[in-house]
Amino acid sequence: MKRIQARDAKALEQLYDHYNPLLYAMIISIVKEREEAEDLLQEVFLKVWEKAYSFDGQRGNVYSWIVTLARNKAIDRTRSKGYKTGQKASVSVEDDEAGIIPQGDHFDPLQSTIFSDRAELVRKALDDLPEEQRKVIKVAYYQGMTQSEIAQLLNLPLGTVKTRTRQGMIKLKNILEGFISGNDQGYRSY
Amino acid sequence: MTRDTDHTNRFEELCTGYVLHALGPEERSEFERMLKQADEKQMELYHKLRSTADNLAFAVEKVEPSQAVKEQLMQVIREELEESDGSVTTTPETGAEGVDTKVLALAASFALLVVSLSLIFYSFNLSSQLKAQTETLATQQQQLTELQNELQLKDELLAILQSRDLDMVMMKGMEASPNGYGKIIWDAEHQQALLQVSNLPPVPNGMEYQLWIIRNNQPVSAGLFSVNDPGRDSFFKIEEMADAEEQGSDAFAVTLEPKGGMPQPTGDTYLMGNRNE
Repeated sequence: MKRIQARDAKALEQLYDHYNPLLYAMIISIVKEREEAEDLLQEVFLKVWEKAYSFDGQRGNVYSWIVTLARNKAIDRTRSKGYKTGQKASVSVEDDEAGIIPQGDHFDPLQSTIFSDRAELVRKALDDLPEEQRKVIKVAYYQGMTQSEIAQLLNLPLGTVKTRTRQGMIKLKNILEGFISGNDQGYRSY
Repeated sequence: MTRDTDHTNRFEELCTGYVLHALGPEERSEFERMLKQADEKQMELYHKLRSTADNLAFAVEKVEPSQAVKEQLMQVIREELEESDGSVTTTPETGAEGVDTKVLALAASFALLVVSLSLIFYSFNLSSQLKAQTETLATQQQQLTELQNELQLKDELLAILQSRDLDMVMMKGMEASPNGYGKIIWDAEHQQALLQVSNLPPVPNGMEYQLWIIRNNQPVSAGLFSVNDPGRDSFFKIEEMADAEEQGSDAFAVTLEPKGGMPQPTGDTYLMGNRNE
């Protein structure tokens, strides 16, 4: 990031090569269209280039920052278009500075885990969740829906969706922490 | 349930929805207010849940976008860099390192013009001062020469006065200069003489006083001189006294003659003195 802050285009290219498969997959899972996902992917990295000066390595790591940026853009795009349920966008998350500039990612238990291992651990953790909890979380995260939309989609009471989301996320957190037990000290940025 | 438990539960419920971006606008605002007042434990929970949500991105199967995305992205980046590096009209950056080079060039040109004009003016002044000082120096050199000549003359006159054997002839003022007087003092041993005159009027333009040595009523020119300040005594060395002594002078006279002198007296007599008086 320091190189990108110094306007090193090669550094941005390297960052793109490292993250683009993961980010593209996440974006496309939300917007469902390849062409739109590619546009958003480009917008994400242009935003990284544009906002690099504001990135503070003491407050968060690059991965969290980029992922949050990408997901915010994707969700904002779907909600502004009334994508899935015909509803107008109720809230835009793109300008959420708290989302763009994550804080305190030294709480990430997988921060020292290499990419391939991290993907395996997360999938395993999700698999360890009860089906109903996993479903609401995946719809919320990978489809960018609000809890009200999820309730409509799954034909569930809103309260049930909230409860399952809460329980599932807490459990998921604990599972991931359990995978790297005793290794959640310190901080490392990409 | 206690109030704190309710609050904790509510915080947790909203937090999990918040990190997934799954809250509606009202609940989102509610949680952000809670977050601002969160204690250390709640903040820790928020950060951990946020990291958990971020890790969910790894669970998707990776998909490669088309190569065109990267090419277009890098093209935009390159164009932006070229625009910011190559143009002197680029809008100045807000940071301390950004400088409008066009304004800087203009300011530098103006400063150079001011300095150049100042140097030209200074040079002109220096030249004028140099000229004035050169003229002053020349005048002072001339004055020095005159003083040296005057000093030499006085040394010569003093040498005459210091002689052991001196003769002196007093001269009286005549009708043209009744208040005038003078004397001839000569050193027979060294064949030198001096003339001293007083109260003679300044000579008109084109005229000079001429000293005559008279023997057997025959005047012989003994030299020319001028008097500019009648209030001061004037001393002159007579170069022709050697000849006068040999001829045996009887009297001395001073007349006013045309500049350059005459072979015989033509003008008025201003001073007269006889040797034997």
